[in-house]
This record gives sequence, C-alpha cells and structure tokens, in this order.
Amino acid sequence: MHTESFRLMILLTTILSMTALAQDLPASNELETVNEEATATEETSPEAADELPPILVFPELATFVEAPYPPEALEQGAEGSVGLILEINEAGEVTYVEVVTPLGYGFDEAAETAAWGLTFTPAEDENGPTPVAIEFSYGFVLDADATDGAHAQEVEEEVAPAPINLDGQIIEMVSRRSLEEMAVSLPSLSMSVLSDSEGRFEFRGVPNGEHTLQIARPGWETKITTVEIVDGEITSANIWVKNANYGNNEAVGVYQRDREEVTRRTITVDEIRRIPGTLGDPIRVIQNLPGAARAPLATGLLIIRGSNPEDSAIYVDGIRIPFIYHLGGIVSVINADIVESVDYLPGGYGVRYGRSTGGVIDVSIKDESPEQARMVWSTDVLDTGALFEGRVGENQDHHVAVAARRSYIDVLLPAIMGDSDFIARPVWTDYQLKWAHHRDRTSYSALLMGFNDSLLIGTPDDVAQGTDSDTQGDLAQAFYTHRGILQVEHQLSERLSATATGAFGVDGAELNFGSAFNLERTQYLYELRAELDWEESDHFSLKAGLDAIAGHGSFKIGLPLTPSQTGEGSSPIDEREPFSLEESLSGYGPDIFVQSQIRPLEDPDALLLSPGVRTSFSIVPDQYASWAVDPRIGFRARIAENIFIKGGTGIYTQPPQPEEAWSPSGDMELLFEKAFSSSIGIEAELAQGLSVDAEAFSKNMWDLINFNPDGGFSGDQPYINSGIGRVYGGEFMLKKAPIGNFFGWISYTLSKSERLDYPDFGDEELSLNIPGDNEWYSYDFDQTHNLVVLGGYQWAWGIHTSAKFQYTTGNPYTPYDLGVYDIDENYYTGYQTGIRNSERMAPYSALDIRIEKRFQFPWAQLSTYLDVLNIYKGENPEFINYNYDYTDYEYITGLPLIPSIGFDLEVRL
Amino acid sequence: MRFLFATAFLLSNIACQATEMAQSWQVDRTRVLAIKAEVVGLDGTTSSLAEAQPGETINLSALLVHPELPSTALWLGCSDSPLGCFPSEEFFELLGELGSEDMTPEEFEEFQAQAQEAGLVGIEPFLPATYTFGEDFLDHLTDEEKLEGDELQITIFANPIVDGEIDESDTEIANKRIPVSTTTTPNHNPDILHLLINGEAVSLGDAVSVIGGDKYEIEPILIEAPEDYTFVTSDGEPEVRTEDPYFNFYTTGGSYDTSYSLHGDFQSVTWTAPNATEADQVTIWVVSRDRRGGMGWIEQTFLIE
Repeated sequence: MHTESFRLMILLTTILSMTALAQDLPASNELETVNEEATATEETSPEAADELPPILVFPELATFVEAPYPPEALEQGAEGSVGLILEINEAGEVTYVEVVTPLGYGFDEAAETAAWGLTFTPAEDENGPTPVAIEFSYGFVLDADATDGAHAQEVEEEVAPAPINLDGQIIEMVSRRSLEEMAVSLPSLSMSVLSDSEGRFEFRGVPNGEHTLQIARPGWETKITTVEIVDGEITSANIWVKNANYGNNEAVGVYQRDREEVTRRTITVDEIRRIPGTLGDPIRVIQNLPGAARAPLATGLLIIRGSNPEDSAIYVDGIRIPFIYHLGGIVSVINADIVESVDYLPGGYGVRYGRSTGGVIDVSIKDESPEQARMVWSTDVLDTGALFEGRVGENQDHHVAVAARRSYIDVLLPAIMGDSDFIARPVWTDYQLKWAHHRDRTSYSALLMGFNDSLLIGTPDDVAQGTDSDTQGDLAQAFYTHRGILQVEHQLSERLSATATGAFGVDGAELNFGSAFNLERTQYLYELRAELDWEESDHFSLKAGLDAIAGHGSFKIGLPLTPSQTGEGSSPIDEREPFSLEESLSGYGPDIFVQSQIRPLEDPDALLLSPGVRTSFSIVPDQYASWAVDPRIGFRARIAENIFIKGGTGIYTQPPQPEEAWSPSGDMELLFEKAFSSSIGIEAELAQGLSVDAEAFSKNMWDLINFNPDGGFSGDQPYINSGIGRVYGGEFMLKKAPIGNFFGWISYTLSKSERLDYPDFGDEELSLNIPGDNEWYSYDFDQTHNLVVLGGYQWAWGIHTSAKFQYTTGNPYTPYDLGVYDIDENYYTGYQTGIRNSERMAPYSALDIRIEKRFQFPWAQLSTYLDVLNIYKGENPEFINYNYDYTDYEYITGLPLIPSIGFDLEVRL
Repeated sequence: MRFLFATAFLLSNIACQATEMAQSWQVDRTRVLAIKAEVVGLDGTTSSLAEAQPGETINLSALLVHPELPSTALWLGCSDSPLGCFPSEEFFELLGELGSEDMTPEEFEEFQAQAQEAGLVGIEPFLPATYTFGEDFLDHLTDEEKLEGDELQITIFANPIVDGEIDESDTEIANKRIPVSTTTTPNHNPDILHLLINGEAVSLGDAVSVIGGDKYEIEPILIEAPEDYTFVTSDGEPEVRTEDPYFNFYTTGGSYDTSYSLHGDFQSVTWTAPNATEADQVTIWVVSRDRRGGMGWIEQTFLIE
C-alpha cells in the first residue's frame, strides 16, 4: 500500500519581484477587469490616481491549503513548482489566480485550486491595507513515504543525512546586514531552505556539478547565481541581495574589495543622492568626508590631507584623468547614474596607485546592467543629461550603457545678469559609453569617455574693453579630455587571475585673452596597466603589476612681451612686442609594483599585512630623467569583535608636472617630489549600521618643486626641487548607514599643513620685501577644523529630507595694506605687510537642506528635489579682494542662498 | 591650468558682487593722479616734450589732489631701481639744510645739484621738482640703444597737510619713469585742450552748473592728434607706430559708469552728479596717457544745483 503524503515546501523563495508587481497593480487599467475592489480603493485615494505609494508591509502567507498530489505526477514520480500570479485584496484574500509557469502532470490545476484557498496578511502602504499582486510558487515534492521500489534507497539515504556540501550567508547590499528567512533554493533539484537569524543557510547532499542557486523574498530583488559543487568539498557562497525598496541604481555603491588600503571610505550611492549640495553626484560627496578640505567656491579643487590639488590622482576604471569636476567645481565629469563606486583614499594606499603624493579617487563605471533596460533623464538648474543601460545580444549577456550631458547655464546666465556689460558663458559637456561582457572565465570591457569645458568671459563689442589694447577683448578658455579604455580580465586558474588595461587619451587646453595672449596645449597619452593576482591561500596573496604611461605633447604660446621680459634689452616705457613659442616634447614612465597581502593568523581576518614596493620612472628626453622607489606597508588587525586597528607608512612620490618639465635649454636636474606618509587609526562597528572611524596622520614632504629664484623662467632651469612641507592631523567619522529611515554622519578633520619653499636660500637671494618671509607658512588651503554633520530621514509619502551643516576654519591669506602707484602703467602694486599666509579669513559655516519626493509609476520612477544651500545666508568668505590701492579689502563671499531644483526620471523599458 | 578657471570664476564673481570699497576714480584722500615731465628749453621755458636728451633739464609737475586739504610731496630720483627710490642718509642731511637760511640763486643751484646727487628732486611746494641729466647719462648704451634710451626713476611721497602739519597717516607713494634718449622723434605730452560736456566745449577754468542726480557725458579733447613715432624692435628694426592714448577720470563726488575712456571710438564716459544734499561743488580731473610716458590732465569744477 502506498501512502501518499505531501511535504510542501512553502516556496516563498520564488515569490518574484513582488514589489514591482505590487506597484503595478493599482494604477493599471487591467486591474479593473480582475479586481474591482482594488479599483475602488484606487479611486478613493487621490494620490493613487497620480502616483503609487510604496508598499510598506508585504503580505505573508497566513493560511496554507494543501493541494492533492496529482495521480499522474505521483505515478511518474514527478516533482516541481507551479508559478502563479495571485492578487490579494485588503483583507488578505486571494481574488485572482493565474498560472504563469505551468508544470503539467496535473500540478497546474491542483495548485490553482488550492491557491484560491490561501490567505495572507494584508499588504500595507502608507494608507493602510492595500490590494497587491504577487508571484507565488506552489511546490510539489514527493514525501519519502510516498516513494516505493526504486525510491526506497533514497529514503534510506535521507534518514542518514548527507554531509553539508553547500553553505553560505545572505547579506543585504547597502546595509550589509545579515538577512534571515530568505528562501534559498536550488530549483533544478527542488531543494530549498530558509536562512537563519545570521543569514546563513546549508544544503546537504547537493550533487556534484554546477547548479543554479536562487535567493528570494518579498521586498528583495531575486538573486540567481551559479555554484559549483566539487566532490568532497564544501562550497561556500556569500550572496549579496538588493532591497527592492532601493531604486535600481541606488545600491550600487556597495562593493567588496580587498582592504589592502588603510583608509578606504565608502559611501553608498543611496546616501549620496540625498546629501544636500551634491546634486546627486557621487563624486562631490568626497568633500564631506574626513581629510578633504572644503574647496573654495567654484574651484572644484581636490585638497586632500593638506596636499596640493595636483598632488591627488583621479582614476576612472584604472586610468588617470586630469580633472574630476567640470569648470566651476559643481558637477563631476562623469554621469552619476553610470558610476558603480567611488573609492576615496586620503592616504596610506597601496603601491597599485602611484605618481601622487596626495590622495586618490578611484571611480569605477558599472559593468553590469539590470535585467530590465532603463533610461534615466536627470535635469537640474545647471545641466541636463540622459543615460541608457541594458543588456543586448542574443543571450542578453552584453552590458551597454550610454550617457551624455550638457550644461545650459550659459543660456540662463544672460537672463540672470540682465543688462550687465559683463558676459560669462560657461559650457560643459561629457559623455560615457561602456560595454562589458563576461564569458566563462574572461571579462571584457571598453569605456569611451570624455568631457569638454569652455568658458567665455567678456564684454560686448560696443563697450570699451579696458585701456590695454593687448587685453581688449574676451577671455576664452577651453579644456577637453577624451579616453578610450579597453580592459580584459581573465581567471587563469583557480588562484591566478590577470587583468590588462590599455588606454589612449588626449588632453587639451586653450586660452585666449584679449587680442594678444593665447596658449594652446595638447597631449596624447598611451597607458598600459597589467596586473597579475595570485591568491596562494587564504593567508597569502600577491599582486604584481606594470603601470606604464607614455605621452607626446606640444604647446604654443603667443603673448606680447616687453624687451626686458624677453631679455633683449630695456626700453624706457617697455612697449610690448609679439612673442611666440612653439615646442613639443615626449615622455614616458614605466612603473612596476609588487604588493602582497599576508594574513599570518589562523583567522585570516584577524590580521592583514600588506607590504609593497613600487618603482617609478619619468623620462622626458633632452629635458630630464628621474626615478624613485616607493616602499609602503599597511596593516589591519582585529583587536576585538568588530573593532580593528589599522595603520600604514611609506614613501609616496610624484614626477614634475608637465609645465615644470621644460626649459629652453633642456638638460635639467629635476627630481620626483617625495612624501613620507604615515597613519594609524581605529574603526569599530558599534551596532548594526553604526560605525566609528578615527585616524591620525602625518606627512613630511621634500624635494617640492618651486620656481627657481636664480634665473627666472627664461633661465636654464625654471624650476628646482627646493621646498619642504609637513602635514599632520587627525580624522574622525561617526556614521549611521541607511538602515531604517535614518542615515547620517559626523565627520571632523583637525589638521595643519605647512610649506617652506626655499630653506637653503638667503633673504637676499630671494629679493624679499618682507624680512622673514622665507619661513614656514600655512599652506594656501590649510583648514585647521573641518566639521560636517549631516543626516537624512525617510518619511511617509515617499518624502525624504536631509540637512548638512559644515563649519570650516577660514583659509589663510597674505596681508597687504600698502599699494604703490605705477603712474605709467596706471596700477597699484601691493606690498605685503606680513609674511605669507599669516592672516586668516573668517570661518565658513553653512546649513544646507534638501527635500525629495519620489513618485512610483508602473513603468517609471520620478524623483524631484529641492536643494537649498546656505539657508541662513552665512557670509562665507572665499577669497580676499583688495581695492584698487590695497588700502581696503573685502571678502568675496559665497552666494548668499542657492536654491536648486531638479528631477530624475527613470523609465524601465 | 585649472586655476585659470578658478581665476575666471573669481573674476566673474567679483564682477557680480557689488563692492562698497573705494573706487579708483574716487578722490577721497591724497592722490597723485599724474606726473608730467617737461623739457626745459635753452631759453629756460618748458616745452611739451616729455622725453629728454642727455644734458637737458626737465621740470616735473604732479597732479596732486585731495578733496579738501592742501598736500605736500617729496620727490626722489634714482636709476636702476625698479621698485622705486628710497631716501639715503645724505638725503636727510640735505633736508636739514633746506630752509635753514635764505639761499642766493647760485647757492640754490648748487643745492639742487647736491640734492639731485643725493636723490632729492624736489619738495612740493617749497622746492620745485627739477632734474638735469648728465651728458653721460646714456654712455652705458650703444648708439643704437641710445635711440631707445634709458629711464630716470621718480618716486613721489605725498601727504595732506592738516593744521600746518604733515599727516603721515595718509601717504601716497607713486613711481614714474622718465625716458631719456637720442631719438629723433621724442615724445610729447598729450595735453588736453578742453572737455566736452554733453557735447559742448567748456572753457578752461569755467565752473559748470549741473543738476544733482543727472547724468552727463564727458569727453576730453586733445590739443594734438596722437603722434607717429619710431619704435626700435628687439631685433633692432625701426618700426613706425602711432600713439594710442587713453584717459582716466577722477572725481570728488558723483560716480562714473567707467573710470576710463579710449581715444577714438570710446572717448567719453558718463558721470552722474551727486545730489545737492551731498555736495554743492565737485571737482573732476581727467588724465591723458600716451603709453610712452607722456601725460596731460585737466580739471573741471561743477556746481551742483
């Protein structure tokens, strides 16, 4: 006698995309044909007619109805799951059933019949219970008792459990918290379990070979991945899943990378989008992090741990670009929607990064598309841009993303400035095209990107444009950068992988001032980065790499010079003559580096040591050749549960800047600028999502390049390695991740950055007009205190508010209060009355707020926001402006109050 | 290079933010608006020549202004000092001698020579500023270079006089270079004939009545048209150029739309008279420059109604 019994696997695991469907339902006309109650609810809710409030509580199965096992299936020993669409009313009752994934064998009819009897806890939005539609998988599995004959052996094996050979943990993106009760299934084997309170799951007796692993739960996007079971081994899989409540592009800022860097600060894109003043730009948020000084208005300068802006490096997909912000420093040069992650490394980074003594910003562009293609249109008061991304190809396995943007502030400014005789016309454009493809053990990607900035400042032709005929006319500037990057990653073996990146780029700059001053500079760059990663074990890995760059550039200068400036003689009133210079030069720098990661303790996460060394070269034939060796080491050690200490020390070097690498006679002696940088800190996770990070740092610099006071620009060596510098301070960050409704952080930096340009020169050699001016002085952007407090809260109705407060010590400046009038040239020359940067401007403080409202549509999501910067109108000094004769000065302040509105429309295709 | 953008934005920001600081056209303290050199002829009279030859003497005059007070000025002269002239010890000794007793013309001439040697060129208004170039002034140059010549650096320290005392808290320091050469086309000062106010010529010295708050177009007219002259390029090639004069405007009251005008198409500026409650009389000055060291000026008084 066969006993029929059923062991139902409540496969909530396969409830797919419930959120999306739930959002679809009330706004769809189709609903009227299937669910009049839902339609009635929609009509009584004015908001629902226009937009869909998000589902706050998802339905859970309350009453299960067992379906009889179909005889045909039983006879054939068939198992499986039937995919259903269920519509559930406000009472939790099933009001509509549709089989969408039929299984045959009589399963479909049985499942449909039983589904009408299921009950659920009602779904809820901000208005209370609401009708929804869900996908539901009704599973049928033969119980051991139901088997006979051929199945008897299997029953016996189940009695003696097979060993665990597949386990793992489910972690939520963004919050990184462990997720319990996530349904984990192997559909092809009809095996399913729920994750425990720590998000862990286990499977026993999974057959050898590759299997599809599926993780699902209402409220999270279904994750499907492949696992390989090897005989005699346990396969572990840590699975990241995305909360469906985040937008498609909002959780992409989380990534897992080896922590070889002492300090790597990561902020998720979701947080970034809600920080006032960033305009949703993930790169602008860096200025709110510890170690980054506040850049003066409209400059977009990157000042990291007291370094010069040009000392910090910016990488996109591993290749360096010259600027990260468009002119004005308001918008970054990369569309925010295409950015996968932004690494901000203020110091203590490994030898993979070189040719910089400051910080590093490493931007990665997405190489995966969502399953559903999408278009995003973003517009604010400054510019407008669009993005398309999706999967193409026969197998939908090619990722393609295209983005472009153009500013239109040049159109708006004339209206703002009214009848002013002054014209300011800034224009910026940028574009990115990314393709990526993963096949077997190889990943291919290509990125084409670029930006073009221009700025015209002038006056109309019918206005007298100054008294100097050489400068009469407009000031026109343009900068452009283009990069083509190809990358191939290949898994050579289980423990050995290789990455090769090649890039071609062109950078250009043009400046035309008045009728006589013009400058053009163009450089073509060829870069090759090759890395070999060998993971010998969990305790030792090695990365070896080549980072080579070569370039060819030219510059052309045209300007009027006086005879005394050209060294050709002296004319009493020094009338100018046209002077032009056109030169070209080439250079190259093949750097190599080796970095290891050593985890000497039994628990690999308990201690990490990452020593490395890099050799850098910079050779400009006929001009100079120099090299440097950068040894560095970092460590990270766990001293208690969720508490780590970290530190690092090493040499950081960078070659001379292009404009410093040329002299008329050539054959210069120029060395790399050097810095000995050290840091030590502690970081701890105080509670889930609440972390604290504190770090002390110091940096001593030498061989800093300065203008050569002995010889001047026309001499054989315009620049020399004369300067030294020192930076020291501490950073603190307390951060609440966006788990729940609140996120925010407190960031504080205490620092001192100083320079001494000519320690080996006497006052007479420098022709100083202020005794003692050749002493240590505060760096131009030295900011003793920099405090940022920000937070955001998610309210009902899809409304999010956030605020940011910043306090920063005023920048130093050099005091002048004596002007001597040059009657012939009709201008006053200011004379210092104190040593360089001996005075400070008043501190900066500002409160910014942001209000965002998100609308959900069945086919799209619309976010609108209002940013109001400096809401209490703080008169924040940015620069010093002296009057015509230096008897008075005033601050050039930030704009008193800056409102900005914008929207992002995301359409799913 | 990126700083250029920052600079450009800075410029635009300055342009967009109204300033409360004093403007260059405002005469609200002691100002030296111009210095003019005039070559003394053999007959002892001055000419409009602004450029001397070795052995010649120049008289120097300054447009020294203050809205209310008389001013004094100390003239210094030197060579090869781009930052200007600074008093020497001998200079201070000479200052002690000045005015200690009456001098005969011969003694005064000898004193002037000693003073010039010590760098003292004049003291306004007691010692007229004058300078005699030595015959060897250009001997360090080749004959070709002498055509372009060299320069004498003049520095003036000006202060207002308050109750008969020099007010050292208000000092104006100004530098001017005086060309000296053997050129055959020596420069002349671009003297101003008169002003056109709303298109009508105003006789020199006549006060003009204006209505407070009204706008007036002011245009300076030169006595002579811009000169042609020979410029020797750095390659030693002679090149005929034509002067391109411009004008600067100053006032004790009211405001200008712009502080300068250009000879030719943009020769006038608009001046807005102050309200009668602010001032009953305003003085304006217009200074002309030919960009070769030559200067001229004119003064105009307005009565505010």
